[in-house]
Amino acid sequence: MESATLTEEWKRVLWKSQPYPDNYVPPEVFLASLQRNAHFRPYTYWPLVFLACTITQHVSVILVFLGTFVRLNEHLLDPRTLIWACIASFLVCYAMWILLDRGKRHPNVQKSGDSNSKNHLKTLKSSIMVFLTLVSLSPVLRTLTAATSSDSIWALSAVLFLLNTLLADYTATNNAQHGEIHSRLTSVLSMNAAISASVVLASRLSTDISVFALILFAVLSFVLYPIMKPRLQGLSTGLWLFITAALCGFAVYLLAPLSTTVTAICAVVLFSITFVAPMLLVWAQKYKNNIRGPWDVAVPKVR
Amino acid sequence: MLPTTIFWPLQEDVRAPGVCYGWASPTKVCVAGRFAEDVDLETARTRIRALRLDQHIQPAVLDLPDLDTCIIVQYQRYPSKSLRFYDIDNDSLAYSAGLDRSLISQLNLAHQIHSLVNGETVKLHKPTAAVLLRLAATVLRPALTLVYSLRLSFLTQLLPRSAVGKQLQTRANQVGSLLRGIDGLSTTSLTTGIPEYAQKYTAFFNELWLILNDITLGVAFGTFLRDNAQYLASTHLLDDLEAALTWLDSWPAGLKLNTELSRFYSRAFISLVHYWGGFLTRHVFDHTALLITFCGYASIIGGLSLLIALFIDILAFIVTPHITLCYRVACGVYSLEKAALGGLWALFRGKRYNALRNRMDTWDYDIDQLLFGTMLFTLLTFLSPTTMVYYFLFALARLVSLLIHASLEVCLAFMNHFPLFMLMLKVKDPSRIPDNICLLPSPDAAGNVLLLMVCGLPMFYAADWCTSAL
Repeated sequence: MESATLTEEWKRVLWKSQPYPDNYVPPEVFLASLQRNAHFRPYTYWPLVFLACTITQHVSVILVFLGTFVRLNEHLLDPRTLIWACIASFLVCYAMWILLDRGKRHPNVQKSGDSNSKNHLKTLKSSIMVFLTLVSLSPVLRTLTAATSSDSIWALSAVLFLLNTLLADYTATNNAQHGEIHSRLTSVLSMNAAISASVVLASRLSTDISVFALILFAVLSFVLYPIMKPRLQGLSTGLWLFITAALCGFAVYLLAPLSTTVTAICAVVLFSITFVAPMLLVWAQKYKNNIRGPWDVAVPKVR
Repeated sequence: MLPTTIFWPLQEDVRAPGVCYGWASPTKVCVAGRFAEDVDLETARTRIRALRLDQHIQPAVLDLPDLDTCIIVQYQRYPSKSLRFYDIDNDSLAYSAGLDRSLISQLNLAHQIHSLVNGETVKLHKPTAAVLLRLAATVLRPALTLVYSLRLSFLTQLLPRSAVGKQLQTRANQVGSLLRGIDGLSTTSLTTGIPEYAQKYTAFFNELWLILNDITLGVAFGTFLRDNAQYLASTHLLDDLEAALTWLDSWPAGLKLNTELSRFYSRAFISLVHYWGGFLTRHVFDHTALLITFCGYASIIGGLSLLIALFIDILAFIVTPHITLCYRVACGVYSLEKAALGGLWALFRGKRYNALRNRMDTWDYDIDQLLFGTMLFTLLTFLSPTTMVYYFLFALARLVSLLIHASLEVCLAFMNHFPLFMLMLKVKDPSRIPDNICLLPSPDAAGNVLLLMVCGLPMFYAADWCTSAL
C-alpha cells in the first residue's frame, strides 16, 4: 500500500489531491537555486594595506597634533616656529593645489579654468580672514576654560577626537572634484569635533601666541589636510606611501621624548591599523556567507 | 388638556370665599390677593380698573376654575419693604415646571399690588435705611459732588502707569456711582421692581461701607506712620543685591563660571546698583522721614487704599528700578546667547534652518563659515553658564519684586471691591440675595392634598439647603 502511494510522482499543482504532506518539497528541488556569495570579489592583502594608509594618516595626524600641544604646553616648542612652519606648509599646499588643478584642466574647457582661478582667490581671501580672526580671538580662547578642571578638559577633547576619527570620511576616489563635494557632505561633524577639541585644548595654554599657533596648526591639519588627501592619493602610489610613512615616523618621533609607554602604544596602534587590520579582514573573509535566492526582493539592474 | 396651575400666596387661605385678583394666562394663574367677603364682583372690577397701571403689570379680577382640578403652588408674598424677592437661574430645572421670568416678576409684584388695592402705602425700605438715605442726600451729596467735579483726571494722564493715578480714578468712579445710587434710591415710583431696587440698594451700601472702612483703617495706619516716621526711615534696602553679586563673582557653590566674564558682569551690575544707590542717598534717603509722614497724611485723607497705591508706586519707581534694568540687560544677553547657540549647534551638525519649510535641512557651508561657527559654538558653550547664572539671579530678584507688587495689588482690589454687604446679607437674610428657585412638596393642613411650594434658593447655597429649609 505504502509503496504504491509513494510511486505516484509529486507534482507542483494545487488541483490534484496527492498523498504527500502539505509542506512536502522533493529533495532534488530543495535549495537548488540557493546562491552563496554571488558577486563576491575577495580582497587581497596589499591593496587593503594601501587603502588602510588613509586611516593611518588620519590617526598619525591627530597624534602629531597632540605631541605639538604637549610641547607647547610645557614650553618645549617656540610658538613662533610653529606659526612660521604652518604658514610655509600652507603656502606649499596652496601652490600644489594650483599646480594640480592646472595640470588637470582640459584645454577645451575654458570656463572651468576661470572659475577655478576665482575659487583659488576666494580661498586665499578667506584664509587671510581666518588668520586675522584667530589672532583677535586668541586672548578670549586662552581664558575660556580657566575655571574648569584639567581632567574634564582632557576627557572632553578625547571624546571629541574619537568622534572625529569615527566620523571622518576615508573614501578613496581618483576623481578629486567629485571627492571634494562628497567629503563636504559627510564629514562636517567630524571636522567640527576636531576644531572644538583643539579650541578646548588651546584654552589650557598660557600665552596668547601659543594659543594662536595651536589653532592655526589645527586648522591646517584638520581642515586643509583632509581636503588635500584625496588629491594626493590620486597622484601617485609611491608618494602616498611615502607620506604615510613620514607622518607615522614624525608622530612617533614627536611622542618618543615625552613618554616611552605612550610611544609604544601609539606605534602598536599605527602598525596594527596598517598591517594587522587588513590581515584580519582577509582572514575573516572565509566566514563570509551571503545567501541569495529567488525568494529575495528583486534587484533592479540599471544599465 | 393640561390642568391649570394656580400660584397662590401663602398668606391667603385657599378655601376661603371672596373675589380674587391677579394675572391669568391659558395655563397659569397667579393670584395676587383676595378681596374681603362683602365686596361683590362689580365693585372689585371698578377698584382694579382704578389702579391704572402699565399694560403688562395691570392685574385683573380672576374667574378661577374648580380648584380640585388644578395644581396649586403656594408662594411667599414677600412684603416689599423686606426687599426679599424671587429670582430664577437661566438653566434652572424650574422652567420645565412652568416657571418663567414673567411669572417670577408677577410673584415679586404681588405684594405691591395687594397694598395698592387695599389702599396702603408702598414702602421699599426700612426706617433706618430711609434715615441714612435722607442724611446722605442732604449732607453727603454736596460734598461728593464737589469731589466728583474735581476728578483730577489730569493726574491719571500725567501718571498713566502709576497705581496712585489708577486709585484716584477708581475712587472718583466710586463717588460717581454713589451719587447715582443716592438719586436712584430716593426717587422710586409705586411699582418699582423689587429686584432692581434691591440690587441698587446692595451695591450702594456695599460701596459706602467699603469707603468708610477704608478711611477708618487709613486714619489708623496713617497716624501710626506719622508717629513712627523717624524709626522707619532708618532701615536700608540696597546692600543685599550687591552682596549677592560679589558672592557670584567668587566661584560660588562649585559653579564653573568664566572668571573674566563673571568679573565684567558683576562689576557692571555693581556699578549700576551703586549709581542708583548714590542717587537714592543723595536725593531720597535724607527725606525718607518726610516721605513717610507724607504717606501717613495721604492715608488719613484718602484711606488705606491710597496708602497701598502709594506704596506700590514707591516700590516700582524708587526701590526696584535698578533690579528691573539689570534684569532686562541680563535677559537680553541670555536670550541672544540662547538663540545663537541654537543656530550654531545646527551649524555644528552641518544643518541649517529652512524658514520656508519650517524644518532643519542639510546645508553645504563654506569651510571658513564652519571654522568660525565651530569656534564661536565652543566659546559660547563655555560662556553660557556664566550668563545663565547672572540671568537667574536677576530673574529671581525680579520675581520677588513682582510677587510683592502682585500681592499689594490684590490687597488694593479687595479694599476697593470686596462684597462685604453681600456676605453680611448672606448671614442676616439669605432671601434678599436669591439665585435660583425650586419647587418643594408641602402637605396642607389636612395632610391629604399634595401642594407644591415655591422656594427661593440664595446665592452660594449648599446642595441640601431646600430640604433643611423645610
